[in-house]
Amino acid sequence: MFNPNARWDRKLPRDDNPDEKISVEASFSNGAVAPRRFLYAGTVHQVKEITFRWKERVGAEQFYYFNVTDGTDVYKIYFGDKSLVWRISRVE
Amino acid sequence: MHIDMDAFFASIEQASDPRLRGKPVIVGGKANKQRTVVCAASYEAKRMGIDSAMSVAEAFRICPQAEFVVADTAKYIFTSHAIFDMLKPYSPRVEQASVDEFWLDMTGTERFLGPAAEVARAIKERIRSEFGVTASVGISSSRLFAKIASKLKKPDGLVVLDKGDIAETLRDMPVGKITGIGRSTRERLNGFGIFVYSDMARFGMDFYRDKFGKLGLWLYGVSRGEDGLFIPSWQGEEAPPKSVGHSYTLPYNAHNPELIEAWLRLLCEMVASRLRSLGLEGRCLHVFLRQPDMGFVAKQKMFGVPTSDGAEIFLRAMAVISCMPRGLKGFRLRALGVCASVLTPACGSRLLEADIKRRELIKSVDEINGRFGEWTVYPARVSGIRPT
Repeated sequence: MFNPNARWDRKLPRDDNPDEKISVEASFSNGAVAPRRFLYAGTVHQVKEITFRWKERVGAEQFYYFNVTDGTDVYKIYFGDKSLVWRISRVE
Repeated sequence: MHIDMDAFFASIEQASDPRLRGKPVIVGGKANKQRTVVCAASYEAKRMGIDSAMSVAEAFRICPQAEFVVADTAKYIFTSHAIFDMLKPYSPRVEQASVDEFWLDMTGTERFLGPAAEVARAIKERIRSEFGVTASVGISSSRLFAKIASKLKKPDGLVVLDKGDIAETLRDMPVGKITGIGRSTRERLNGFGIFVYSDMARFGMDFYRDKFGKLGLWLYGVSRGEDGLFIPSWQGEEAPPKSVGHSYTLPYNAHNPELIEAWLRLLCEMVASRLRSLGLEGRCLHVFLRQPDMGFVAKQKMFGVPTSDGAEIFLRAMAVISCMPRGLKGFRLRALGVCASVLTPACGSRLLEADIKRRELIKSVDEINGRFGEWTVYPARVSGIRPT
């Protein structure tokens, strides 16, 4: 049987540079969260489309990840349900 | 029914980023992309000759315009689980064979859900609409032939392989392409003039049994369009494991013993952590080390007391390695694996105070990691390893 616990990326020493905090305007509806726009690098980016979404539990905290596009670039942003902080981890 | 996701990781990345759609995409590790290997390639990249396990540097030589994306394991595993959950209403027995492969036993479901092919079409459409990726589906009378069928029309294929059509459909398939026939069996079959599936039918059971022993009985069955001996029967989700192991292929050849030991320690902790989460301990430890172009060495050893302590498993792994002809001296490591077996339920009783303290320490570390995330506390020995 497939073992989802074989997660090398979670067992390796973590990156020393945490992802940058960002300000996000989001909707929370029917138990689902959806970012609408966010402030990053001094610019407000309007979320035109959430292209992919997924979740990951790290310890006691659930993180909600989103790939979003503002029509030009694709960003990976996420929200932690314990810290209540949004971060941006990758800009494509 | 066998469901095989098409270029799963690369397809998820193409679904995530509209700019990647229709382009050759390479998914690789986090390290310098010239040093890592291709984890997955989109069909556009595959058509240009790029495939998994190739070095990224080589992939870029073949296709300089390829788009490189760093693998996002959490995303792939979440999607895999979500697809697995989506499949559960379609069969009482659904199994996840790997991150991108699923089995469904469709026996007896026709009166409720309709023909299996119709169910497959509905599943394919849901996967496409809900996840933005495609899957190839094979349907047959056995798991082996369903798996073979799923690969016949990739990507986005659907093949129903009735038992009566197996001989004709697979007539020209090289025997090495049949799941379960590895390189050495293929070479032996070739030595007897068996190159394609239709050649297999020229020989009877006596031949296969005499030449291949137990494997021969399975080969004979395969030659007649039957299966059942080789691929394990349906496993319930709750089936207890017989062994717990982890292995890893490094994207480079490691020859520094300290680095090799660091990887080994990491593997041992992963095995230990899983054993503890399952409430099990292992007595037997199996270690394998693979060298580039030189095959692998493997040893196992039985120990008197079962354990689920990562440090103890590491010491045992080193003891197993010391039984190997050269140990780690002069070893150029490409892949390694650690597996604990002869599993028993974790035993709480320990007589010595040191053991009791050790158990309390491990419990505390598990609690910290459970609250703040895996690897919040980790063995110092592995700190030299960097994501690759």
